[in-house]
Amino acid sequence: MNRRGVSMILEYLLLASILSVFVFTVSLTLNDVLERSQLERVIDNQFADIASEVSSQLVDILAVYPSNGNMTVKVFMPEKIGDIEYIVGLEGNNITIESDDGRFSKYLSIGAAYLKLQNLSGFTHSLKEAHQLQYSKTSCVFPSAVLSVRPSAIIVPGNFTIDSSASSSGSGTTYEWRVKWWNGTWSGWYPQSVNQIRVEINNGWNPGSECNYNNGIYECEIVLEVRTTCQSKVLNDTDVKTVLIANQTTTGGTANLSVDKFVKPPQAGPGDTVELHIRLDGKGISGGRTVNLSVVLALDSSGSMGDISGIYGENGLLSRSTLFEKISGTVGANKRATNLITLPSNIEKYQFVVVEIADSYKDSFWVYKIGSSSCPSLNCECFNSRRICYVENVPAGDLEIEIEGADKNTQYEALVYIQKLDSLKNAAIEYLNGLEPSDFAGLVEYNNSAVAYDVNVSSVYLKKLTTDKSEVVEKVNGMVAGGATNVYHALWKANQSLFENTTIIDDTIPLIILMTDGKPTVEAHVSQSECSGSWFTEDGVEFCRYGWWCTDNCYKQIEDLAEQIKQNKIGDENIRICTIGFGRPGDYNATLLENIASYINQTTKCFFTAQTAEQLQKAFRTIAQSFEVVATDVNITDVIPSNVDVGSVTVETDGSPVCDATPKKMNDASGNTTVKFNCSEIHIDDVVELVIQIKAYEPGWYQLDVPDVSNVTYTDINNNLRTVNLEVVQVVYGKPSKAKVWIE
Amino acid sequence: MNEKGQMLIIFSLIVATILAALSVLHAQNILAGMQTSRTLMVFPKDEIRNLKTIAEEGLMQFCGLSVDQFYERADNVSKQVRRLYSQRGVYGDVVAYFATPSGGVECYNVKLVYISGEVKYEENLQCCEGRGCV
Repeated sequence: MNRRGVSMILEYLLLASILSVFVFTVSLTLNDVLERSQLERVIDNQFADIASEVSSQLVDILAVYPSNGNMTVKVFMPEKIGDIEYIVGLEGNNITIESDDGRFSKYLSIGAAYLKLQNLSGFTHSLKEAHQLQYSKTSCVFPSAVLSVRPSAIIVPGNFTIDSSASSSGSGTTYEWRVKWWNGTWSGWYPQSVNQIRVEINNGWNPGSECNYNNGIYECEIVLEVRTTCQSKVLNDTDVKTVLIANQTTTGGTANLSVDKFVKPPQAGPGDTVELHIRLDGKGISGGRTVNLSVVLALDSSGSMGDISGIYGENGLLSRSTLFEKISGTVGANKRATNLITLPSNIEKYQFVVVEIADSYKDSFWVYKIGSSSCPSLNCECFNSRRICYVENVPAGDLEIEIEGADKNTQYEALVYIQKLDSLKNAAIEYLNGLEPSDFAGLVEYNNSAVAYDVNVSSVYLKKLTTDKSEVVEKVNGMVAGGATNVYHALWKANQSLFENTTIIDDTIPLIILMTDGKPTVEAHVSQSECSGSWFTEDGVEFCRYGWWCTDNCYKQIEDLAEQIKQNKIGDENIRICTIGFGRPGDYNATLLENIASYINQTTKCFFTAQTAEQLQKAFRTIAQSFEVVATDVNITDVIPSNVDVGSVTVETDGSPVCDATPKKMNDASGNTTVKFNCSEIHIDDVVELVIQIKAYEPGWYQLDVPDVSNVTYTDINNNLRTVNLEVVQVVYGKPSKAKVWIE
Repeated sequence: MNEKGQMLIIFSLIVATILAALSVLHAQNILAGMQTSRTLMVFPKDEIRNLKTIAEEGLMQFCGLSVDQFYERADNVSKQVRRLYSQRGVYGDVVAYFATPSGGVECYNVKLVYISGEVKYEENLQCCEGRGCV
């Protein structure tokens, strides 16, 4: 028997079995004990390191971040950690790291840095060659303040309108505006509040220190400030314009062309359209003339212009009046309020002044006094229980109007009217005073028939026209309302006046300004048997003095006569006819007046309508301005770079500029777009505005003009050739946004 | 056959295997640590801030000059900045452009550029006298 308990073979087997069990047991736990737990620790540490690195890069970026730009920062990380590959990403306000197989992950919040950032996004795989953090931000731009003053030059009394509506904020949102001028400030918010205000300048106005006096003209500064808040920053822009104010008409070369340029809005989203505006404004009290005028005023003094004898009731009174001014205010503790209006001193005495309480206030207010006359009294006649009262023969100058209310401290509104003929006299006299010293003027007054006054009595050769306008003013002042509306005879007499002596007025532009407040009431050029009223012959031509309302045949006779007059030439110039319809629409035949008017430019007739005293004044001013040239041979050239799309180009005009019908748009070899527009004449108070639609698709800053070649050339009133280089404006494509950060 | 010798060999194999596994793990740990340590670079905050100061405050002093004078002086500044930054092995520049005159220069655009091995920075600013930069 062997001493050994087991045989050697069995011993080997036993040992091998024990060892196998041991190795098997160890191998089961080895991965967990020696690899997995170690790997987890390593990966956790390394992922934390990488997340910390990205986080610290973000904080560093925030320390110097560009407000409008981009930044790229490299991030270094191992390809593998513990033999695993992983993905690093940005999500929400976290940095995330996750192994490819999803077994390991790590999240690290970027904390307060998130407040400055948004849209954290992107991811990168550890096996990629390089990794980087990208930062991008678009900031706001300054708003654009654009101030418009229309008209930019006035004669006292007058008014102008301040308009801030062309301004825009960079981001296209709301903005605050504040206008400051010598008489105060005015402010509001776009788009909530009205951004146009009319400023009345009356006799005795106080210019203040903002106005510089120079050669009979005040140059008064108006400042517009536009303010907006964007990304917690207050941004502003200002625009300064001057308005020219003269206390009386001045002649001579004070006018020039004002050139303005702006983009609206200055910041837009990629693909949005912005507008590039080039605005020309004929600015000045008086312009230049290449030739003088010979103008005959053919003015209507029919009964409807203000004859109130035999007129009963308020409707009759108002039909012969025209709105002069609106007054408003609050009655005081004594239930009364006094208003002061100024009747222009062009005429000495006003036929009548009517005060009417505005409709919505008629229940609670009455007219108490006009001037020194209590209402009603011997001098002050009233209708509708003092809701409408009038006084006659009112001297020019200040006039007090007192309103009485049912309750104290309540608001009222009232309308002040004057005789239509007085309105006409005011406007016509202002027009005559504004003519150049060497212009000729004459007057044809017409009602039942027309009278061409001798205004140049001392001359043997020319009696109907004179350069001494005071003679014509005196005749205008002497006009009295009454009778019918003999338009045909008026035109015929005006034409005769111009042909009295064509040698003397040979080098002038002959012009007839025909103003009427009603339809022609006299049949023209008919035989005695066809005339329902009295009949007369003048220079072998038969006329009817009274008659019925004009018929189609009668209108045609007037149009034929006007056409014949317009064909007539004095020297090299055809006679031109301008017409003004005065009163309520329908009172006069607008079609007839438009038909007989000459063209003021290629597209517009020299025909105006007016319902109020102010509108009538404006019609006469526009006619005057259409001959007051500020600039001739005006050429606008704007070259727009090829990196933007140029869409439609339109032109908006106001007044009577003589311009091309449409602008031209051409592309050159380098892809730039050239926009050209020409005007042969721009007059006082004319506005020509070129609007170019522009679009870009890629974010960035775009200069919208090629410098030095974008300009306006013109000949000024002193015959000097001038070139104004157009300011290069820019637009930012890319809306303001919070910072974007991504990893890639 | 010597049983002790066999046991020794067997256990030596086991220990060697364990040591080898641990070594691999340790090596991986060291490798990962070395890789991440490379990221501890110095971020060029001051260099970028200096560019901003030059753009916002330095060039602003040239407002009121004529456009030509403005560009001449701004160009000089740009050259000096490029030279100074190149001495540090990086690229930095402050380029003024699009100066809008209103009498003298009132507003200008300026582009800031900083480029190093690790950081690339670009910024466009619109600056106006009395109104700052955006």
